[in-house]
Amino acid sequence: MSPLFLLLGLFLYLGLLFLVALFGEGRGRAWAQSPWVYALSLAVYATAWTFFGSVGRAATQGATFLPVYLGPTLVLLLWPFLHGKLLELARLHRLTSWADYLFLRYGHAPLGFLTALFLVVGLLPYLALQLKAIAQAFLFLSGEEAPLADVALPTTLLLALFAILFGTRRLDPSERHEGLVLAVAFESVVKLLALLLVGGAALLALGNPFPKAMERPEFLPLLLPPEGASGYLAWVSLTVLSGLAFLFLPRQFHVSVVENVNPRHLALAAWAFPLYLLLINLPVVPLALLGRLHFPQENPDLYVLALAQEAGPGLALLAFLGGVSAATAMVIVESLALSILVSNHLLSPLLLRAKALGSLLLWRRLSILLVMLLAYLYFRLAGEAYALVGMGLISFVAVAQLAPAALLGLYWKGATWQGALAGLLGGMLLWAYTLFLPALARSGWLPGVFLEGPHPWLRPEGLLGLEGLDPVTHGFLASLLVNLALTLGVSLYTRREAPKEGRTGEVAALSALIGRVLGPEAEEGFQREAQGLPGPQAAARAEALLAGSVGPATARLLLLSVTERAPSEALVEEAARESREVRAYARALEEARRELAEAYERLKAQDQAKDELLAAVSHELKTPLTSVRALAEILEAHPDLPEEERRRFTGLLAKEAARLSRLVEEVLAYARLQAGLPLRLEPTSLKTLAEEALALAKPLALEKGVRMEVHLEEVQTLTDRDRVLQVLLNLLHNALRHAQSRVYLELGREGKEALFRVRDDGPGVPEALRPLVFEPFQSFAGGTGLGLYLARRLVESLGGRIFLEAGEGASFAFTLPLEVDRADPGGG
Amino acid sequence: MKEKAFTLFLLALFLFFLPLALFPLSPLGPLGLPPVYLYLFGAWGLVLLLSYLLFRKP
Amino acid sequence: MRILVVDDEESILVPLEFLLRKAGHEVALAKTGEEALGFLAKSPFDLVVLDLMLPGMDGFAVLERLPQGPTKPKVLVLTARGREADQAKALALGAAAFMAKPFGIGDLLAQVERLLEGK
Repeated sequence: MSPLFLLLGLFLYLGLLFLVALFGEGRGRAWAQSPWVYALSLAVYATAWTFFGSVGRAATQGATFLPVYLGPTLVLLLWPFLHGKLLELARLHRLTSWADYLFLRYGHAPLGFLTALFLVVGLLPYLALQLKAIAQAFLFLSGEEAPLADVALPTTLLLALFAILFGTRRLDPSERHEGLVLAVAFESVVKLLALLLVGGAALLALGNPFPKAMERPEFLPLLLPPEGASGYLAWVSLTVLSGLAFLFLPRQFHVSVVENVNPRHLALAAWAFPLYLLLINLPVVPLALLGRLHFPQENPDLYVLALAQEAGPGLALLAFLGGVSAATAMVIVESLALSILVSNHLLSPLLLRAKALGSLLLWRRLSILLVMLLAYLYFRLAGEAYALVGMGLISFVAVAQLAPAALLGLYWKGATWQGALAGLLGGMLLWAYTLFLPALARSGWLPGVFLEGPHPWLRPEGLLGLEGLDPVTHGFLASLLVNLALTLGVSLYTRREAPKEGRTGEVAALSALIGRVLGPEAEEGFQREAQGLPGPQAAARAEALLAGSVGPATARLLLLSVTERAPSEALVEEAARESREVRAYARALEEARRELAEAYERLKAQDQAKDELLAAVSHELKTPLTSVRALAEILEAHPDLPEEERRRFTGLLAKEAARLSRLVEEVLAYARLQAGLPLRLEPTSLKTLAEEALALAKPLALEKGVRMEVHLEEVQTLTDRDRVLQVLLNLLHNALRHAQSRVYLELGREGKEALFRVRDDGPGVPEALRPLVFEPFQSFAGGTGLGLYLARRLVESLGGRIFLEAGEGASFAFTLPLEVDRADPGGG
Repeated sequence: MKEKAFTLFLLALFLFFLPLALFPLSPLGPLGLPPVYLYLFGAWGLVLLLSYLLFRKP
Repeated sequence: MRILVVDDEESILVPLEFLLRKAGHEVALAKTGEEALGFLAKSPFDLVVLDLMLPGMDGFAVLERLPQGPTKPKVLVLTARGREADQAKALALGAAAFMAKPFGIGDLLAQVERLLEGK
């Protein structure tokens, strides 16, 4: 294939990518925010390493290519504990990288600085391998012998340009870059399809490799599980390593956390992304075997291209573009992420001191270029000696050094900054010693001592005389164990710092600062957000906003100028809690006091009522007592009274005495009611009862000369005889007292109730008194004032109602509930 | 759901870390494919299926 | 002497009328405050035996509306309400004496004679 053709294809493809990114920023925005695009963007994890290197590894080392993809699968299963939590934190504090998190958690500026620096250095091999892959592919397909370097450099510059164009539009990197995300997702699709198609085409063209492979003994290790304890250890280590890398790689943090639009997308990505990994790995083994069978002399990393070429030039181009996809996606996102690290943690404090913060965006762009050039440099220095996967794994181990500090920081309150720093330093040192430097030594850029070590026990690739482990597994275990031990150990020995002092400030001053650093748009946004927020919260918001763009350390420094010390958050919390408790207590106290006052009022009212009753009763008693006494005395003092007068007086005496006894009865009945004596229910014939009442009232009727007219139905019910009788007598006496000539008594059935009606043809109850007629102590015209009130209480206690009917005269009626007659077939 | 996720994680861990070297596997297996790959991809697929079922509607 | 007895209770009026008639006085009976004032307007009385608890216009109101001047009768207030406040109020309104029910007839007659002595 002509190199020109390849170059054209390359540029066209990059141009297409450019368009896709533009589309994502414009009308394709909604696409870019879908959960599927999110899941696909995570697939930036699969780089040229996956596309070319996996086949290379599978062809030489068998199944050990696979754990790299099992690790992320395992980590995503834990997303509710890991990514979910991260998303929350990131949202809250505008985190743009793990370095931001470490600074947030441990608060020590050197930690962020160190992390950023280490990550840049540690990722150079990984970036370099992408450049190598593209260069290699180009050269292979074009058949040229030109040095790799010639192609790698322009590629490097082109990719840097792409990253600058789509990743650094705005200063605040915590804002979304939909175009970038869409482009990355697009590239994920391209590489998946490309590899699957190449695999399929190769199988079609060259047939099933498995039967042939199984015949050859040298192929056996490729078809069997890894052997021995060291093989198993390597398997497990690689899985864990890649899981950690998936979590801590800057580009993965960027696409999964920073670019996340909706936390719920995680649920889909948790299975969709590993599915992608599974699919893209399906062709690997067949391609590896075919490669070994047909191109035994070729560099195994090139098998994919060689086989594609066998199947046809179109497929070769496809394979090339697939590899380019894989490499460019990684480079763009990784360099962007690294540039954010560099600008926010390395450059920003320096710029602040130089008062050149305004040019931060420019510096970020420059750092993309810088990082890419450094990757190119590494590629030149160490790229030859290693297979692609080997280079990638070195970076994996570097990135994994963040794990102890970060994970312990997330879940253990006892982790201190000293521990984190110690662990990180220890891990870095060991990484450098066991992996990074030996790699450079192997390429000839460092003296051989870095491969051998000063002492057999300090052999870089086999510390303490360990043999049999491959360098990566060994380096991983050594560095991470030391890292973990130091983090834990030093944390246990150092005390947790008091919580950082909060700052508090005025919204006006804060937004002015934000305007100065981030521009007028950000200032407006902040003013809207911080409306009405108390000082400490506004300051925290401002800090988060700034931290996203200039790095947390600088943000804190900037804030110092416009805020003042706020009482320690913990103290404020304490105070707030205490005051809340005090207020709650005071409220409870107030409630209790109010209840007490009400109860007191009720008691007083009852007492007063009792007093009133006593007063009323004694008052009522006095009049008949007076007349009884007077009359009795007269009768005694005048024995020779004329017969007529004598009869008159004795009659009066008898009447008043009766009145007295009636009053006493009523008071006693009232007292009984108050005491709440229980009802005695028995089956009663109401008609019989009415007749009894009539009999008792007869003397009064005769005396008054009032005729009693009755109309009684036969009604049976379950009730208290005495009480009903009392009510009837009450009403009858009232009626008789007021009647002119007639009193009517009616008893009938009304629906579910028995209805009694007592009517007299007297003057009736005046309109004004009607509503009060059943209230106690409303005596008028010779009553006790208690009679009707008592009647009401009695009737109500029996479950009925008593009322004064409207109209002329006085017509009192009351009801009694009827028991449902069980014998009645129709029901009540 | 968190408990189920963790249980699935443990299951996957067990499946992926099974010391396959201890099993008498031959290069030739069903469908003419090496059993080690059949097992790995099969277990992986199973774990994904379970996680799909689990995380479908959080 | 002319005595006006005002009480809404029959059982009080009857014995009082008997006793006072027996003592040789002219007795008029009123059951309400209005009735009493009507009597007083028509002809003068020497003594009014007044119950405080009357329907409609009560005893205090009657006290207030007594015809003033030389024909003003003395008032003996009778009542079941024995509170000090009532006593004070009645006396303040011009009652000459105050008797609480129940009373003995002997006491009543003595009080009446005492009051009429002044006349």
